[in-house]
Amino acid sequence: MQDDPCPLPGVPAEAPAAKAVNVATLAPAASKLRRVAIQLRRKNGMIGLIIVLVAVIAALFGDFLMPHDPVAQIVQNRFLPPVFDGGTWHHVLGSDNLGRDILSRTIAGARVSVGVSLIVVACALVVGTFLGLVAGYFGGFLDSLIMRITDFELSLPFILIALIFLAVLGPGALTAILALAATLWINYARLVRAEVMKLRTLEYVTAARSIGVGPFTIIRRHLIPAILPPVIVMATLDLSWAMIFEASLSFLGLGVQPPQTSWGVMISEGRGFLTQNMWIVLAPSLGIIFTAMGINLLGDFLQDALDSESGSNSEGAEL
Amino acid sequence: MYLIPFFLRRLTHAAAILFCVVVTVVVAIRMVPGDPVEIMTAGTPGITEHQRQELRSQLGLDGSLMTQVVTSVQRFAVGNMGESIRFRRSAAEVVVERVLATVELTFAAMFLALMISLPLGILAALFRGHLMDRVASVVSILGVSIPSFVLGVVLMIFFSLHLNWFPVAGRGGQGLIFGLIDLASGRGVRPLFSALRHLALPAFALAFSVVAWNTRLIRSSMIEVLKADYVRFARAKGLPEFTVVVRHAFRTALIPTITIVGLQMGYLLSGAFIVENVFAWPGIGRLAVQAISWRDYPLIQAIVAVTAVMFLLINIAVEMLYQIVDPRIRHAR
Repeated sequence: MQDDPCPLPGVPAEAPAAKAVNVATLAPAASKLRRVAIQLRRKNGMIGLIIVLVAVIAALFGDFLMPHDPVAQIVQNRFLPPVFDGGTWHHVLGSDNLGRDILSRTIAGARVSVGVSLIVVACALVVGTFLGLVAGYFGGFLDSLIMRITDFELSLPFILIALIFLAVLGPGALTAILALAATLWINYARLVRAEVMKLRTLEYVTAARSIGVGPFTIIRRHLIPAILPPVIVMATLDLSWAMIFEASLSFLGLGVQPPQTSWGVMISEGRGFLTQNMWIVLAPSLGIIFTAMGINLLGDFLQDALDSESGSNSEGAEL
Repeated sequence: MYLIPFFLRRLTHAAAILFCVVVTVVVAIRMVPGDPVEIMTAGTPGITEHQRQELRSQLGLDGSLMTQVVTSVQRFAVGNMGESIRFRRSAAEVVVERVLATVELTFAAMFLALMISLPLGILAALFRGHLMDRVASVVSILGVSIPSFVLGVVLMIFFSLHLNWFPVAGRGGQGLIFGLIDLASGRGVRPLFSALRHLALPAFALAFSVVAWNTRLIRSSMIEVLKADYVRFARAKGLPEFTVVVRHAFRTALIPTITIVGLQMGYLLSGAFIVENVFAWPGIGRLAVQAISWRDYPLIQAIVAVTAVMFLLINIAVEMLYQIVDPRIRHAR
């Protein structure tokens, strides 16, 4: 399949006409490949789901999973190596510069990192969807006001919005949540507005309106169910974004403040001791990377799954 | 010439946004709970009541909100952003001194990102399902999952501490541009080489997520373009595959990439603020974090204003480039 894009010059493998006909009968090999790809895709989605579930379980039941108190400082235990580097099973991942157990801290960090990103995305989703519905359904002055605000925010890099929040509220977890939510809501507002403007002219909505159904019932019964799939996909993908930037802000000392811990805080604290025990940094790093990867895999999977369900273009599922 | 009215229009737009930024910042400082001047000067021993009063009037906190907004806009328009409390000199000056380092890092990262993602995306599109395609899909999932600062720390552990290939931190002298000037004026390659060595890790850490997005984007637009009639025609008339890919398909596939480069500059600028703190890069990102911990409000204002100006200018430049590259726009005068 070296010449996949064009097996014979002038005769593309995927001529547009072939799409109209049943592809399976025309090219059994291609359809088999496609089925494998779908299964792989499912597998990716499954891997993503498992990783996300592990992270959520760590966040919810962390107290029962932690082998030690994540904030207990035992000075004799400073810089214990992990078990595969000459350490003991007592401290599986070793300990940090203050003698705190790294595994316990990584689990404790999961709660804050996952929790904060969930709160951020939930706030952004609720506010953004509400404003998007208002803007898209009612139009007029509110619409242009909301859209000008999103234009303004879009024309600035995220960090400036964060800086303004930090200047007013000072560093802290709440500031990080507000700054991230204030950046993310515009995605939902714009997406929902565009969807609503498309939907409100459809027959079933105009029919509902013509028999006297009120705007709130129309929004609740007819619009929200229709806009939900793309919003869910966006929310899933935004979760990893929120997690990464919460970690980044905490790393800079602008988000979650010690002694409370998050993965970003752990990396920031361990950075000064890279030569003594780099596991202080690597365990939370792997925590962020795997969780973000899991969320992204799940998000991609949902995107394809919901996309094909709604019957819109299958070309999008190509990647 | 068709670019001039476009440029002016974008400039007006940018000015309007800048105005909104200044107003937002001024109102934001006003909303600081308690007395901002008290908070600011809490860490500065030996400050007199007179100096506090001066600071209050400098920030415009002694008048009404309306007069504060008006005077702030007037002051910002002439580049006067007050005096930094920590540095005891013009905040604008302090910020502008560091802009170059941040711009250098941002552009280096964008350059690096394109240098990696263009060939990777094209090869992935040409050899779908093969090794390059796999590499591209692994890169594109890793890129959006690894935070730049984590990558920075990991790169530092591996390449600086273990292998000793690159310096751990800092900018190593005056940076890329002065390195080039030194080279041109016959002072040897050493400054340029040092600048590049210092730049390599931070730029790569910053670039990686953009590599991921662009690879995905270039791959899918390349796949789309390769199916187009004019590409089939180019093949049919017997052009070599290389010419078809590079001259015909690639140029069209590049257009969506250029569109997104503008948006990505903002992302890179935000990322630069973070990566700078990993590698002790002396740009505005590091300054911003310090300014916030010092509660140096004039400095924060200046950082926000200068970053906004920088970002808006970069975006105008990218849009101009877009106008020049896209033949549909170029010929639609």
